[in-house]
This record gives sequence, C-alpha cells and structure tokens, in this order.
Amino acid sequence: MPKQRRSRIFIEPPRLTRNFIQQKAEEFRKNYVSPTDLVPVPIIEIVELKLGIQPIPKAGLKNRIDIDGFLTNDLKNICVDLDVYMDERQINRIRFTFAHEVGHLILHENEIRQCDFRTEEDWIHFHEDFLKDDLNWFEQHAYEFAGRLLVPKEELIREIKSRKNKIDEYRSIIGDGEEMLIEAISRLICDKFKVSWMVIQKRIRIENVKL
Amino acid sequence: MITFGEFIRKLRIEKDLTLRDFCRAVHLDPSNWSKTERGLSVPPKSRYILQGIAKVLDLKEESEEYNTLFDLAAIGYIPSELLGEQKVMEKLPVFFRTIRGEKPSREELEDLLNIIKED
Repeated sequence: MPKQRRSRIFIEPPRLTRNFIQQKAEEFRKNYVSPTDLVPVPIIEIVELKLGIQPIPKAGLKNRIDIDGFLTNDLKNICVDLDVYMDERQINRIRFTFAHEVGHLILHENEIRQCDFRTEEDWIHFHEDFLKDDLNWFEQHAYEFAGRLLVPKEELIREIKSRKNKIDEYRSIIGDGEEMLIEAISRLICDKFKVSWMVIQKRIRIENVKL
Repeated sequence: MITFGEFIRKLRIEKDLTLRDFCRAVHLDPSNWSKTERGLSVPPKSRYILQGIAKVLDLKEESEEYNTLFDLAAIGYIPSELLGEQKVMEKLPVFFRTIRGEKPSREELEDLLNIIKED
C-alpha cells in the first residue's frame, strides 16, 4: 500500500545571539576539553571518543555532491568525505567540519528532532522548501560555534601578543594595509589552532582584536 | 550476542583510538571498516589482518580478548546488504550546504540518497 503523503516538514532557525553561541562553545570546552585552554582542540577525538558519535566516511561526497560532511538525522553519526577524512593535508578541514557539525548538535537539536522524515520524498521536499535565508542562519550559527570552539578569544589574543615582534615587522612592510596585515597574521598563527587562515581572519574581525 | 564489529569498536574506543587512527595503523579502508563495525559488512577472514588488529589493540596472544576476536570473526553471518528504508531516513542530513555555498539541487539530493543507500 502506498505511503500516505504527510504535510511537509518546516523548521525555522532559532534566534540565537552571538553571546549565547559563545556561552555554548565555552560550556562545551569546559565539559569536554581538558585543560579548557588547550589548543588545538582535539575535536576529532572528542566527537568520537567522548560524544560517541561514529564517523561514517563515504566516497564521493565531495566529488559528486560538493559537500565535506554532515550530521545524520538520528544524531549518531557524522558522514564525511572519505578522501578528505584520510588526507593528512586536509586535516584542518575535517577538524572544522566536525566542530561545525557539533555546533548543529548543540544549537539545533530541537529542530533536528522535529524532522521526522518518513519517506525519501519527505526529505527531498524538505530541502527544496528550505528557505535559503533560513539555511544560512542555521549554517552561520554552526560556523560561529565552530570558530569559537577551535579558536577561543583568550588564546587568540595570547597568541597574537606572543608574536608582537613579527607583527611589528609585518606592519613595517605592509604599512596601513590593515586587511593585508590581518591576513598575514592569520597565516602566521593558524597552525597553532589547526584551522585554516580564513577561520583566524574571521575570528580576529569578529572579536575585534587589536593588532 | 555482541558482533565482531561492536567488539572491535568497544576495544578501539577503550584504547582512545579514533576510526581514522585505527584504520591508518592497520592499513584498512575506513569506509569499509566503518561498515564492518556497524554490522553492514562481514568481518575480515585474513589471519594476517586479524593479527594486525590484535596488535594495534594490544591484545596478548591467547588472551581471552584475542581469542574472542578470532572467534567472532569466524562466525558466519549475513550482514544486511542494504540499509532498510527506516535506517536510510535516520542517516539523512537535516542541514547541509554545498562547498560552493549553495542549496543542493534536486539531482544532488537524489545522488546523496544513493550514496547513503550504498551502505
């Protein structure tokens, strides 16, 4: 007997402030990162060994669908692109993907639980109906969480201060080019946090860190 | 009864080994190994591979856990070749965006369904 069509599933992004997301990232660090100021945050280990979320590496996610990974609807797995997952050169990318998906878990669990897909068509319609603006908000929340988790403000400031001589040297070369200076510093310190330089660049801007 | 995959996963987690690190150490394909741990693929039969797993997990030869590893690997069982519809529904993402920053197209959604069903 054909399955009865249900009304379509809609979810709306919760209104979360930056402060709220920061608080959630700090709570997470207190619960799972030891010592809490440890960087780089061992997020791959935390996800699998402490949260009990099993990664499922899948061939073709990136090449065929153009995605790095996602949290499954039952909150038990993170599917990741197989090649990216095993490529040591892309470890920072995987680390950020894991932190981002943890962000969805922490910030959007209620919304995820509302998505009781019964058929493949339910799921396809859900994504077709998903407003781009709403999806952007959900993604922005998770991005913000991941950035704050992997690059805590205090550690970022500490690292920048410790590189004062190098930054002065950059400034003497670059002059007034603030954006170029931020990029140069981001490239200088990103290895410490094991994230891409773009993540650091965004964190410096968001936290309005004085250089 | 615990399956081979559940048994290895338990020991692996106790050793603080992620799937990534474990597969690197034993030279296993993490995609296939993930299926084995989830009971969707048969355990390896090769003694060489099983000994490699035992070594990485620090199991002493002839210890109870060492013997259990070989016993569970030897038990023939038929893994579910395809995920049931309900299981597929549970493994679908609520949130995802392409790397190019756009919503996925219908073709990409259908292709993703096929990838998930490949389990």
